[in-house]
Amino acid sequence: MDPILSAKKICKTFNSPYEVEVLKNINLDLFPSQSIAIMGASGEGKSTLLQILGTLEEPSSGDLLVSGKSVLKTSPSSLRNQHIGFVFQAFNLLDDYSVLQNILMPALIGGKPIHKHSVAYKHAMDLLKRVGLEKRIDFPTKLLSGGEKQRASLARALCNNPDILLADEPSGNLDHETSQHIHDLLFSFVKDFKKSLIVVTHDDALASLCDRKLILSSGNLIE
Amino acid sequence: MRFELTVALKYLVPRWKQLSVSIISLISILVISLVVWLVVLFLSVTEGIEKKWVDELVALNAPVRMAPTEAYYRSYYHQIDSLSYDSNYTSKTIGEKLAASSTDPYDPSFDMELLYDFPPPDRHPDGRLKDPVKEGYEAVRSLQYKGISPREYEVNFGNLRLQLLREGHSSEDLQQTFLTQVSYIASHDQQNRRVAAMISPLEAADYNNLLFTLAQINTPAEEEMYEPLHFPLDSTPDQFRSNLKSFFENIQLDALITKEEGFELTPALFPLDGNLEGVGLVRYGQIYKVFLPQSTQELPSLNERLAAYGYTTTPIHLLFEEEQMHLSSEEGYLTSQGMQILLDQAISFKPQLVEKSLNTAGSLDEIRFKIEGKVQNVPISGETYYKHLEIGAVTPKQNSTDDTLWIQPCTSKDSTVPCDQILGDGILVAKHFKNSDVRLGDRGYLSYYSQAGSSMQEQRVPVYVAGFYDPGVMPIGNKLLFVDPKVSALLRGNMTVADQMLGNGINIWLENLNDASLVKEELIKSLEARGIGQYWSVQSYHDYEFTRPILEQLHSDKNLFTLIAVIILLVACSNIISMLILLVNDKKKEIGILQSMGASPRSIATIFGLCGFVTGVISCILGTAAAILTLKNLQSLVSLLSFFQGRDAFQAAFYGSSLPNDLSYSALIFVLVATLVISLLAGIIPAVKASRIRPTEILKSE
Repeated sequence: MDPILSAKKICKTFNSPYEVEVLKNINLDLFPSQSIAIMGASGEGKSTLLQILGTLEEPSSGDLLVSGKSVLKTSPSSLRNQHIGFVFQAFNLLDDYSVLQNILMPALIGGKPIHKHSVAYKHAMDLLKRVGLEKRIDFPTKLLSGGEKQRASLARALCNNPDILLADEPSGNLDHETSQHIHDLLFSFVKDFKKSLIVVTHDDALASLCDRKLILSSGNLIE
Repeated sequence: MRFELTVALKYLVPRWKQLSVSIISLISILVISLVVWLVVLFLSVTEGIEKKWVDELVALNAPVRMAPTEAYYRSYYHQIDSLSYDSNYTSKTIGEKLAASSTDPYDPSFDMELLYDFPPPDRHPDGRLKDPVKEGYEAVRSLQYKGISPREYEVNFGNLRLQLLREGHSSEDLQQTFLTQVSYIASHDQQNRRVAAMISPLEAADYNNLLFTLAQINTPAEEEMYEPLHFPLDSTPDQFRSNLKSFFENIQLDALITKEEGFELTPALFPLDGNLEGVGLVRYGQIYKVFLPQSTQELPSLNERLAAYGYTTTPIHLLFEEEQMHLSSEEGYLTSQGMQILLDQAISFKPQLVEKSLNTAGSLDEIRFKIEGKVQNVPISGETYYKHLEIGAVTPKQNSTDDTLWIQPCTSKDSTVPCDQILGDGILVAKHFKNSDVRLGDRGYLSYYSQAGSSMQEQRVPVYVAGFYDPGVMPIGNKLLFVDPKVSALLRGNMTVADQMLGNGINIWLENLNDASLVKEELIKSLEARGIGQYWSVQSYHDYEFTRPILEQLHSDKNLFTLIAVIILLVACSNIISMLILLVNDKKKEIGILQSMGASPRSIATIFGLCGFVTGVISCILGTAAAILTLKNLQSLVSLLSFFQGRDAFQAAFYGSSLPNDLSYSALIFVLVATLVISLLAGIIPAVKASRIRPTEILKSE
């Protein structure tokens, strides 16, 4: 089976204010339906790695294949739009839009129709039901609680039906109980919809739910 | 594009959260709208003025003109006429040449022999004599342009002398003044609709003066009254009546008003019943005249006016009961024998002409009218003579008869300069003459000198003022008058070659002024091809000596303003840059989030570019709407300006009685395109800045 996401010899060096080699020769394969946890001390470059894997950041060297396509040859933004869903620690919802508008945004960016009878709209409504926000669809996102915000951002990450979910400390800003709920939701998506997941976390409980657990230390990934 | 537009519009809706951005964007919209408004308005008005000026300049001088050159006048073709019996030994004008049956009237067997230095005939290769006039006309007619038509023009010089005979304070008292002016006398081309369109409307005073003139020639005063202008003919009573009939047939009389000396309220006009207040004049203890004002409010001012003349006045009350008048004087004066009841000046009545009175009228006083009106709210009506009354308001009839004595503004049909057996030939003078109190019907002479034996003899053509035209901005405008072609033919006299070159030629009229330059070029080619190029000089209105400076000035004014407009637009649109940079800084996080969802840098740039563009579009719509509204109400705006300045904001002499207020589409397109392009360009810098934002820093976990 081919990996859905494959990092090949990825290095990342920051040049300013002084040269720091954050990532050294990272190789990583993510297979369909697989979940990987990346742990490590703060400042080791976990988030940088995740953003490189999510095509938001360019590696200094090396190549990244998403669904078999190299980011060096394909437009990273369209790869991101179609294949990758992000979940952030700080939720990163758009404040001026309603919950539904937030969730439909990736579809809008991808140029899909989003009117009431469209596939994207129906899918978004299904997702909202699944994360339990069906009564909040027209709410401005700034009025939601932390847990609700993360559920909304989870639904948004899945709007375009991506193969890969990338989560950066998804429960970092939430209390224990709510975190638990978010973890359950996240893994239910991974199982039910056969998504692949890479999650960066300090939370051992979350990491233990994953198929693989890797630790980033001094720029290298260790099993 | 849907995504980018959705986000851009979201950003542009003003929000409290982004107050500074909202304020700046509102200000930029306001400023750009203002500039769009101003530029569209100014360019529309200047374009209208330019069009009007060009129209006026070209009304008197066709858009393209063909004038014979010196070579023409020195040619055999032109000079042979004065030596040929067939041409009556006189040289011909262009028009006469066109109408002539043969190109070469010279008959060697009959006419005297030509001198050895007489210019040789210029012949075509096939031996025919070249005919510059007929072939020139053919050359013009061969051009395919809308409405193209060649017509001869003739301009001569002459001296205009007008006698202005005016009624004094009493009808017996006549005042006369004279007006003399050296004038250019042009033949009026009756098919020239442009001149017809420039004819000024006549006023009530004009009609009154014409009636007065008709009355004067009917009842000649003593001979010396008319010195030094002596008119040879006076009208017969029949001519007078037929003139009157034609006069009243061609106008719709809307109002008669009472004259300054007062209009007598005869018993025939007495109201059935009612009360009237008036001012009585007292002499030897008796009331001998009573003046009635239009309304009782005017009583004090009427009293003051009469007292100022030195009359003793007293308040009078008149009571009418069953057409009987009862007079009571507060101060107990008695009435004198033959006391007159007079209506004060400028009281208006609705008149109806008693037509049969024209059949017998020997003077104006014998014309009768049925009049209807109100004085101090008491209805007054009845039949009266046309005495102490004058015309107050007239609507000219559009379908006038052929014997009309005046020219009215009319574009629907050919206009001719009228001619009357007694009054003489009509002349059309510039409206500036009105400032010298010249009115319709004023009579005079056109004089010119002709060689008679060994001396110059003055010749006179009797003329009268038959209408006024607006010469617009043409420098010689007020010195140019129009006469019937047969009059200008009389005046031709013995003009020199140089004068003739100025004075005679072919006007080429066109429907579309923009064709003028092309017509000129093609005509020159066509004349050259026919081998008669050296006989004609062709000019378009851009080349005329008197239009060039004006047109050039207008153009450079317009270019200067356009430059200023672009600079103002640039400054106004630079606001968009600062607004967008603020917006980009404000929306950094949002840009990062959108990128994480797959928005490409190009999409992000497009969003901010669109923000600038939409700002431009909104401003354009607002500014254009405001400009259209202003143009519709331009007159009120001008009045307001004039009110604040305390004088006319725009001189009527230059700009016409009202500013042109048609929206100029070329100006509109220029402003809209310039604004949109500049606002789009203004969006580029912030858009590039936005697209370079890296999402990583913004999105990292805290």
